[in-house]
Amino acid sequence: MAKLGFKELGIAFNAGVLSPFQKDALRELANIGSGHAVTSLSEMLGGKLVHINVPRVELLRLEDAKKTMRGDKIAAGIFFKLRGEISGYMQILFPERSALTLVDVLMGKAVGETQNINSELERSALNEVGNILASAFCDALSEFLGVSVVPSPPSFAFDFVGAIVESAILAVATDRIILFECDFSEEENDIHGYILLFPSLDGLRKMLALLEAKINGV
Amino acid sequence: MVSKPKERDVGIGEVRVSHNPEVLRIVGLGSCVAVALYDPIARVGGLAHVMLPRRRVSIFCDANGGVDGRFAEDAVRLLLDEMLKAGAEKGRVVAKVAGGACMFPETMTVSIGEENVRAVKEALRNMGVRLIAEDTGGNHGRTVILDTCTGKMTVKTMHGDKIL
Repeated sequence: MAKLGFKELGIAFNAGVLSPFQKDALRELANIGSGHAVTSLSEMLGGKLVHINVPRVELLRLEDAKKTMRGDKIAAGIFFKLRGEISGYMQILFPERSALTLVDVLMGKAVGETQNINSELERSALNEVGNILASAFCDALSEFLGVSVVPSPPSFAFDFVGAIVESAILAVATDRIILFECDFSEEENDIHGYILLFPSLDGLRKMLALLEAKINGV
Repeated sequence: MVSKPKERDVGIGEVRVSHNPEVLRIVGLGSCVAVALYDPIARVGGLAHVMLPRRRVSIFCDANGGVDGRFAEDAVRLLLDEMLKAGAEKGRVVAKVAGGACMFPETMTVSIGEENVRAVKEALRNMGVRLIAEDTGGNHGRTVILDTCTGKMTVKTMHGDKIL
């Protein structure tokens, strides 16, 4: 039986590395997603201006993703199952410091006031932001690739980054994650986050084929 | 003065055995499982980082590939073999297991963590290794630190530490 690798996916995809074109296409996708999210986030924050910059898009192995996001650190993770033509999971991750700042901003507190995420109020505030981002990115995926992708209701964890990320990848049985690194700025506060996409094998194949078609102008 | 042995990370699918004072570590364990084996007489200890209960066709492996430490049974066998090579005796080797959480129970219909723990225990039983301690399941992550010299396993979580 042949080993099922990226070569067998039948698309230009070398050693699990994104081509510059595929990267550009994903970056454009991220820009569309951010554009959608900015409006909703600004509304949620009572009209304050929010900017989202996506400086980095990568296709990573689990081990490398853990290293990039510092697996031993604490983060808030908001987790979604994806339904529709591209199956898999999506995760929004805010490193501890950013998660606490975000809660302060959302609840109108002075930055530094929130010290932990343990009440339902804090969790649901972060869930809501996660929801907005996941929906915006799924809409962007749908719009950009012409497929339908819808996120499930969110599920939340405040724990080690490694543990949060690992859980999703095992569920899809691939070892590749599409990582969008995001910088959010809300007036004077900078918040750092990650949007992670864990497509199923079939989902990844479909996505890359659609991206490829997009690049070739089909 | 004895200098503190340095901590060495055991990555996914990796198996590491040492009879020198060495501290092995797995950081941010979610549904994966850490299997520690220890021979108290030979003072040989080792750690495996199990990812999945069994082989399944996916993007990174096919159904009948070679021995692979990412899967429960292969990992336990590899770890035991390495232990014996390093001077451990099978009858004295004991096991400690940690991990196998389900981080997002609302979204996940199947707990791979639970399946991982079950598969690891079955493999230990099949190979005649006695399980003497475990800290498994739940909805929280763990960092596991094994002192290969004493067999002491520390499990760190957001809610405090535990010694196995």
